[in-house]
Amino acid sequence: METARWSTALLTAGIETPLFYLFGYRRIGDCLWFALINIMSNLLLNDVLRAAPLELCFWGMMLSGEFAVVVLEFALCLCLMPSVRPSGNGRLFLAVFCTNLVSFLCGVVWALSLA
Amino acid sequence: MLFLCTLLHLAVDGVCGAALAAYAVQEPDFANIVYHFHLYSLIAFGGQWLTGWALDRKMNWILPGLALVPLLLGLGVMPGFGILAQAVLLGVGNCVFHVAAGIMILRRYPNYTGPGVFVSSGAIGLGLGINRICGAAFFLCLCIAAALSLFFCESRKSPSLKIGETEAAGAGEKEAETSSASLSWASAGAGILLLLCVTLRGFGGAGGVSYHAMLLPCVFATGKALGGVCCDAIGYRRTIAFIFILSFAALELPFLPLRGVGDWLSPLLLALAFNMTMPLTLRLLHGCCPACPGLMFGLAAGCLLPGAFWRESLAVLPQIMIVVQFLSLFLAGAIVRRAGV
Repeated sequence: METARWSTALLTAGIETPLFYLFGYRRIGDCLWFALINIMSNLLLNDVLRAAPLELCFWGMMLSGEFAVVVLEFALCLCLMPSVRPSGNGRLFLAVFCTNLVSFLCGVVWALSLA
Repeated sequence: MLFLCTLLHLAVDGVCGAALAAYAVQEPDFANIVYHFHLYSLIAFGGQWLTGWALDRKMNWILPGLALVPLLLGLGVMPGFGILAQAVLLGVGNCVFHVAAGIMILRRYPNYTGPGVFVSSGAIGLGLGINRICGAAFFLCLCIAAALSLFFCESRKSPSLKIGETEAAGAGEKEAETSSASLSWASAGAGILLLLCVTLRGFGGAGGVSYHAMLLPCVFATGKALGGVCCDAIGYRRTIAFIFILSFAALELPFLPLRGVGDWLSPLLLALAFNMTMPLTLRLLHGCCPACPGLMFGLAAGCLLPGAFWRESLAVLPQIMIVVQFLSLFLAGAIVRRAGV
C-alpha cells in the first residue's frame, strides 16, 4: 500500500511537471518546487479520499478534492516561487489548473481501462 | 519590556498550573477536578475578549491591571478560600495579565518576534507548575518581582508614556469611532479566517503523549518563538509554506521505516508546526483592527476554548486541518497586506 501511495504521487508529478515546464516555467528550481508541491498535494488528497466515505458521493468528493488541490498548489507556488509572480497570477493559476486537469483525465482514462 | 513580560507570563501561568495541580492531587473525585479546570479555562480564555474590549477603551488601566495580577494570583493560591473562589481568582488574574501584556507587546513591537517570544514562555510555566516541578510559592515570588519591575520600568517612562498613551488613547478613541466604518468586509473576512486558524490550532496543536513531562511544553514554546523569528527572517509567505511542509513531513513520518521513531516524533513535529502559527495569527489579527489590540488578542484566546473542551470528541483529519490552516493563513495574509497594514 505504501509503495502504491508513493508511486501514484510520483506518477502524477511525472505528468504534471513537464506540462508546467511547457507552460513557460523553465527554471529548474521552479520545476523542482512544483514537483515537490505535486507530490505533497497528491499524498494528502489520497489520504483524505482513503479516509472519506466515498460510497456516499464519489464524484463529489473527488471533484471537491481536486479543486482544493488546485487552490493549494497555486497558493504554495506563490509562496515558494517568487520568480513566477512577475509573470502574473492568472497565468500561474491557468498552468496549475491545466496540469491538474490533464493528470485527472489521465487518471480517469486509466481507471476506465482497468474497469 | 519583552523580557519582563515573557518572564511574567511564565510566572503567571506557573502560579495557575501549580495552584490547580495542588488542588488536583488531593481531590478524590475526578469529575470535580475536570469541572474546576474547565471553569478556570473558561474564565482565563473566554473572558479575554471582554477584558480586551474594556482595556482598549481605557488604555490607562493597563498598568494598574498588571499591578493587580499578583494580588489576584496571591489570593488564588490560598486553599482557605475554597477551590471555586480559587479557580475564579486564578482565571481572572490570568485573563487580565494576558490581555494587558498582550496589548503592550502588540503595540510596542510591530514585528512577529515580539508576540512569538512573549507567548512562548506560558507553556513552560504551565508545564512546570502543573507537573509540580516548581511550587506556587516560587512562581508567586517570581510573579511579584517581575510585575514590580515591569510596573516601575513603565512608570519611569511615565511622562512620555503617558503622552504616548494619551495620544494613543485619543487616537484609539478616534480610531474606535472610525474603526466600525473602516473595518471593511475584507478585514472582517481576514479576521474570521485567522480565528478559524486559531480554532484549528486548539484542536491540532496539543500534541500527543510524551514520555517526559516537560517535552511537550518545550515543543510548544519553541514553536511559538520559532514562528515569530522565522517570519521576521524569511518573510510571511515562506514561513507559512515552511509550516505546511513541516506539518506534511510530520504526517508522513509514521509511514517511513524508522523503527517506531516516527510514531512519537510525528505528534511533536505536528505540535511544533501548529504552534508556529501563533505569532502570525496574533500579528495579523491586530492588523485587521489596529485600534482594538486587546479585543483581537482576547478573541484569539477564546478560539482556543473549543479545542480545550472538545478535542477528544471532534475528529478532523490532520491532513484536512493542515490544508485549511495553510489556506486560511495565505488568504488572510494577502487581505491584510492588500489593506496596507
